[in-house]
Amino acid sequence: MIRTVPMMGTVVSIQIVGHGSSDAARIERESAIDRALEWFSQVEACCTRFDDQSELRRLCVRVGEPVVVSDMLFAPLHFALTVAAESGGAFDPTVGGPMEARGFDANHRTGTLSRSAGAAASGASFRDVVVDPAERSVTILRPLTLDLGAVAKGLAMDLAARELQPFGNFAIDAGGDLYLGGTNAAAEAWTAGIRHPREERAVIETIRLSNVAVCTSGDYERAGVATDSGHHILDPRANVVSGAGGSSVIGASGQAVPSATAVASATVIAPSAMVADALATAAFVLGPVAGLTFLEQNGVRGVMFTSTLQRLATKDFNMKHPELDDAAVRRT
Amino acid sequence: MGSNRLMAIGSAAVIGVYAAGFFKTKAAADRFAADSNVRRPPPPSEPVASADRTVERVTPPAADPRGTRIGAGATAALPPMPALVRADDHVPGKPVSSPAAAEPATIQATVANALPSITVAAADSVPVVAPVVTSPEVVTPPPTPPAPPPAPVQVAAPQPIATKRAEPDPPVRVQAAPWKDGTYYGWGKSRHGDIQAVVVIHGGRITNALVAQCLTQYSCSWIAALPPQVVGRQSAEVDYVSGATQSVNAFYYAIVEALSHAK
Repeated sequence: MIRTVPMMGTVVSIQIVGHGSSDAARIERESAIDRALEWFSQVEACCTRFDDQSELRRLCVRVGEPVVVSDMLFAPLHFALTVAAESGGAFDPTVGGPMEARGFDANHRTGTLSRSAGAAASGASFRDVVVDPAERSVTILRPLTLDLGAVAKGLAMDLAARELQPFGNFAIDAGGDLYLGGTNAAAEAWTAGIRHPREERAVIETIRLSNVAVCTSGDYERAGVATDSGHHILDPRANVVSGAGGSSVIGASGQAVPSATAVASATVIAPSAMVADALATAAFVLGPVAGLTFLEQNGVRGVMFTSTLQRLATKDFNMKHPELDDAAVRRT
Repeated sequence: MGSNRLMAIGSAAVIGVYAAGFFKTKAAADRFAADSNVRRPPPPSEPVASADRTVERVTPPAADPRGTRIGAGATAALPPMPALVRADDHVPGKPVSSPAAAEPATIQATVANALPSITVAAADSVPVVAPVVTSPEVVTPPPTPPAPPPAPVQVAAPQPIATKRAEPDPPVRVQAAPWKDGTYYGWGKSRHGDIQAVVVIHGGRITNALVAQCLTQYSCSWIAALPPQVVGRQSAEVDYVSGATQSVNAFYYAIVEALSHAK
């Protein structure tokens, strides 16, 4: 059973593997998918920057005072700020302002334009957002626009995945980011293809996965509209389109990486879609070498392709995927 | 930057949000806070004798291994109790609830397993419960001798409607509008988890009502007596169960939703 709906600026598709054809089994799956999708709705309503009534946007207008927020906003924001700190700002949830300035201010789905007060502010960074986990409060120190896009979608996927856990075998596809639970209908680990960053509809590599999320940040999605800057991932540290990683040279594979080489796509495998999505974005921004190091430091598997299609993978990426051993083949 | 730190934080965040049951319970809980009072007016002056109001208790399996149902008539066996507990259900120490009974019997992958990895879920996930309701031993009060593992509380509609109708009481609303024949499902939410109910309509009447899925933190044996009441009364207006207000309300709303599909 598969259901596909537009959600969170992309298309979300949920599949529960199973052939139980009784009405009860079918309705059970329908209900579960409803509930899984409800998480997407809830997270989007709370965390979108495209609706000035969202909790996130209402938070953004309260500068200089601690604001107690819901778990659903606090958790992803706290996580995003942590990733920002650990990545030295390569990932930064305050990128919303610069994103708007560059023309990424329209809801992808509805086309509705959305400008926020913080849009004009520049120079803001994740350091201007202070959280207090004990109070679950957030203090924004200067006008800025938060963007939890990747993290919020990942969170929704993780929540949906938990909702579907009783079924064991299921797949969630949110605009190309995947969470793959259990096995496919053939009782095998799921096979996921990594999109070729330069060729439409081509797959550059396939991987077998179970009970993990796999997320890819690429330079090929959602080209900017107001500028000719290309893709939608900004390097918050310089407010320039990212991908032109550092000046270093040796990739994990031992081959030299030209210093000007940009990352074309970064793919991360992790038990959590929120983690995978954020780290993929950070690695993409950090560039080929620093990005790879970052992924390894954080204990996730990842593979990156440069604009010249050079392949850089974490050391354990090609190892036997440990989760496959645990993938209990569950009858449905 | 410690290895796995982000992973741990991320996973904990997901578990936290999920455990908070935000969409399932937050909004719903607020609504229920109102509904709990709205659905039935507070009964401070109400005599315990009112069958409709009398607290029913899930019989220990030993007393009647088959029938967990007790009609209003069975209330005679109960010790004197407050007619209704509506403030906070599952209050520890309430007569009906032994502390053990408050142990989460089935928890839907929540706090109980706050491991820093979401992949643990396969282990703590709820087996999807078919029309079977529960493990009734959870409710067994100490004095009762242990019963043979009771048959699942298969709450079919074994109770003749007459049982209920024969009671002296009923201020019970009988649903006049005929329902369309079929099998209908509905979800009811509570801050402790959700309940899915099934209602079977045949010949325009409710011939069967079941708990299809019990995702509450507490054993659904709490409410095992309720499905037959739906059949008996041809209505979602089931009795309260002391100490299980939230579960009862979740069941009530599940039945209401199911019946709404039958209109």
